[in-house]
Amino acid sequence: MLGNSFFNIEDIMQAQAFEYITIILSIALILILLILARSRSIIYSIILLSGISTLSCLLYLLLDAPDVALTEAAVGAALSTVILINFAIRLKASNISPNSKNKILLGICGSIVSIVLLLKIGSELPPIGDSSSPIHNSAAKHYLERTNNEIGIPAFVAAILASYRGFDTFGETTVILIAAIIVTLIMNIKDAK
Amino acid sequence: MQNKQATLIIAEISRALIPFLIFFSFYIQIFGEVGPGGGFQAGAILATCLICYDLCIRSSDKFMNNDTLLFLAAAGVLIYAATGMWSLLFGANYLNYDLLPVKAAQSLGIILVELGVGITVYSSLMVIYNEIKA
Repeated sequence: MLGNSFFNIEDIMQAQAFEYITIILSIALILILLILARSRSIIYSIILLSGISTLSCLLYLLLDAPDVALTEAAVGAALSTVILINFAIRLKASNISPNSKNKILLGICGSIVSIVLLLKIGSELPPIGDSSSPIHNSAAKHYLERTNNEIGIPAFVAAILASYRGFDTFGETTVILIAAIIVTLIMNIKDAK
Repeated sequence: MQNKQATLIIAEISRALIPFLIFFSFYIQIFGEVGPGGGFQAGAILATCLICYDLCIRSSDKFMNNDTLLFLAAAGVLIYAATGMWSLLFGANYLNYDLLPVKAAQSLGIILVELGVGITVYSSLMVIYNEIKA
């Protein structure tokens, strides 16, 4: 019954619509990045960074990753913008001098080489959702088959994060604690006279 | 005068939205093993709500001290480590949830672990914001 209901015309149209929206959002992301590279004011750049985080959150949602989208919306779009603006207000106005011609030429050559390499390598990847690609057959298949018997919760992401790979999550939590301690130590340095 | 009106609109909208968002973060924390969510997301959203309150409505009184928040952050990591230490006392390897004395042992282990992660993420983000603000 699952095989019969996949080839409806509505499902195919929905998959195509998702594909087109993903392409449009990616092009919008590239355009915002180009504007960001040419902006001169700091507050303008910070607001563009927040826009990039919001578009990335939408892209994660379209590519079936709601956990990552939640975290990106809360941390990337909201919190990092607040912290960056708090810092940017305290900066004194510095004069930004334009780059010399040699640096601009080097930058353009490096960008063209990177774009050509990435397009060449990216065109050889298997299509998204291909069931015979190696990413769906080695580790993900093991977790999908065994989660119901060994752990018994419906969400695979929480099962992998907290039970199969629980020790890695322990390391991540410790890293967040260390970040808070280090920020406390750095912001309380008094000038040694 | 224009600035005061803009602040009033943002303050009133925040006053209406923040209780629902705090409740939403608790919902994401508890239902982390049934749908999308978990400790990281819940801690980040709770910290965002309280930072929004601090920015838009009132910023003079601190909800929690930095000392209390650092203690909470360390307590979160301690909850995580203690859940793993329980199975060491009974002879198995670290973070083995099957030895918890409940019938749905894996679920209890995941709930405790995500609770620790949520507390630590919330406290750390509030500490970072408090340090940078003042």
